[in-house]
Amino acid sequence: MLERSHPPLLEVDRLSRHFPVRGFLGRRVATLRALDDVSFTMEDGEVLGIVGETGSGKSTLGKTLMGIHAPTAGEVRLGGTRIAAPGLRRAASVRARLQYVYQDPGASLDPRWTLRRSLHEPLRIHTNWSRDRREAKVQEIVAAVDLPRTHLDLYPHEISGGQLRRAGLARILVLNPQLVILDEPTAGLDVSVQAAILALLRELRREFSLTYIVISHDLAVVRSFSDRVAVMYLGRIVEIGPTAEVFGGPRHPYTRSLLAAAPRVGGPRVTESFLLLGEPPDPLQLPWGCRFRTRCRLAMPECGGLAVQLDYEAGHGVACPRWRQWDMGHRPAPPGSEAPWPHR
Amino acid sequence: MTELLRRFARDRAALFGLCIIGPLVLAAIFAPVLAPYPNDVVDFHLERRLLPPSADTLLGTDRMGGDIFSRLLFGARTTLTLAGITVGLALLIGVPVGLIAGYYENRASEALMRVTEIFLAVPQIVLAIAIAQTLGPSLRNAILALTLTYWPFWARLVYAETRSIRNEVFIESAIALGASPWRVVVLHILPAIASPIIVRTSIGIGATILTAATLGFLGLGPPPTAPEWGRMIAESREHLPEAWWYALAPGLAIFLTVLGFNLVGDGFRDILDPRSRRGP
Repeated sequence: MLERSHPPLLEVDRLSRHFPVRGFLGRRVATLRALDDVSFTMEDGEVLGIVGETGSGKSTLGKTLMGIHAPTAGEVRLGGTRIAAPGLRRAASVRARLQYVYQDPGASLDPRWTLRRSLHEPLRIHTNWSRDRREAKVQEIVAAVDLPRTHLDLYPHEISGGQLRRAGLARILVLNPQLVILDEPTAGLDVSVQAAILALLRELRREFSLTYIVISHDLAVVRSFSDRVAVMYLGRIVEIGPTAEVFGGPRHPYTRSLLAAAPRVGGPRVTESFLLLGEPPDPLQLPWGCRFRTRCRLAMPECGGLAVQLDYEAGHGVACPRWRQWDMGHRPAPPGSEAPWPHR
Repeated sequence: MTELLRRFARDRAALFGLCIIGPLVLAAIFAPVLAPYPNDVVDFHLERRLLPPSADTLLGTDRMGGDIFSRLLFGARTTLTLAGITVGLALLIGVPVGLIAGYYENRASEALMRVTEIFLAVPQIVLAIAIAQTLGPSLRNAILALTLTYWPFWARLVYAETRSIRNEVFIESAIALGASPWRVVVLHILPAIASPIIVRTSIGIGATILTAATLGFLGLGPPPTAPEWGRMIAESREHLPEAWWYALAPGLAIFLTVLGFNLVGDGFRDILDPRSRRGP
């Protein structure tokens, strides 16, 4: 480890969140390992994209960082201070520095409250400012997110989806957060509105020197928006690295399948290049060792061995015991397939 | 707000209900002034007993010679006080219990709801009779018996409503923002579930009047001299069918009052139902 003068902005250390599945009389019948042994760090001002399918644990990761879920194991440090660990109560000041933007930020506003009241609320909770001082801050942020000032007296159902998103963003920005977790920031929006929201997010990042974690299943958004990207599969990070490297030269078989599965104009048909075998395993009974091995064409008996750790090389980590073998050019043909990676 | 009132005014059934409840409340308040024979609540005139309705005694007289109309007006006081206090107290206990049990997901909230369910497993009237019988007949004990058996209904209702709204994004985001449980419950959850509570309060008053009348009929309400509609019906049984007015007057009073509260409750439900709420 390198000696450094100050700790990274965010350190996630072997973070896990398991949900007990309870049966008759509250007996624990199984455990859902929604997030299992996830570690990464983030520097100030960075944008980290987190991609994965539904059920990969990306939202659980966001909510555990945020403190909505308590971690089952591991810890999270923000600027060197421990902010999440099993049994740790989060201080109010930490909540202000770390904010979560919901998939539909409009839904995070109380439908019975005017936007003004909703935007004042974070300041009422975290400061003892006077009404006028709060109002000044709200006006400043509302101008920054391009929300018409007249909208402040309206109710959430009275404004458009795009404006609601701006209002939702304004609500978290009034607290001057350092790290913002964006959960599917563009889901369910028209392409033109998507572009506007992404441009706004970029601008806000500059203006308020924010650090973003972008959770999305939209690879195009993550690719254009983030500096680094982490790929999750069934509660674990399988690959993490600079965006250009991960998209340009994916090392993990799952990442390759995921990228190949994204349809492209003029590209190969998705059905031809889709390299996943079968269905994802039952999340309550995950395979030992590498969790992807049941669907991986390159799987070998050794993949079922001990937990697979991220193997870093020049800041690009991959959790596959075999990637070096086939990345060096000796790609063994897996049984039942002639060309494992027909389209690169 | 004015929009809500306008919609309420358009609801004829609810207005009819209001036309019953309004005069009834006024009658109860001004009973000493309105009653032609205010002293008949305690006095008895055996020479005038069981007279049929006439210009002199509007609704006839009872077995003690008391003017039934006067006793009915004072009975409205008893009934409304009893139902109002009972529902108020039941709300005061049931709503916080339901909110707490619905907000937290731990063993304590489980325990609260199991206790509630034990109460709900026995029909309210049976439990109320048992408690009132044990404590002895009086207005206070009737209120106590009805409250003790009525709060679990509110706890259950509020619990279910709280649970259904607990996982809404705006609640979760308020918690993530650092809002205290108190703030979340009082400022976000309670206003969101106020509509069903208001609707059920009106219907609940009607139901409580009926249950209270049942207690009175069984002699478990206020003591014999106090005017109480249920007890008046019980007394009239020995004189049926000759003195038909004796049973009819309090019977109709109970019927109309309960109908009034139910109609108003239905009216509230129609205008407060979130599914029928419209945008601007």
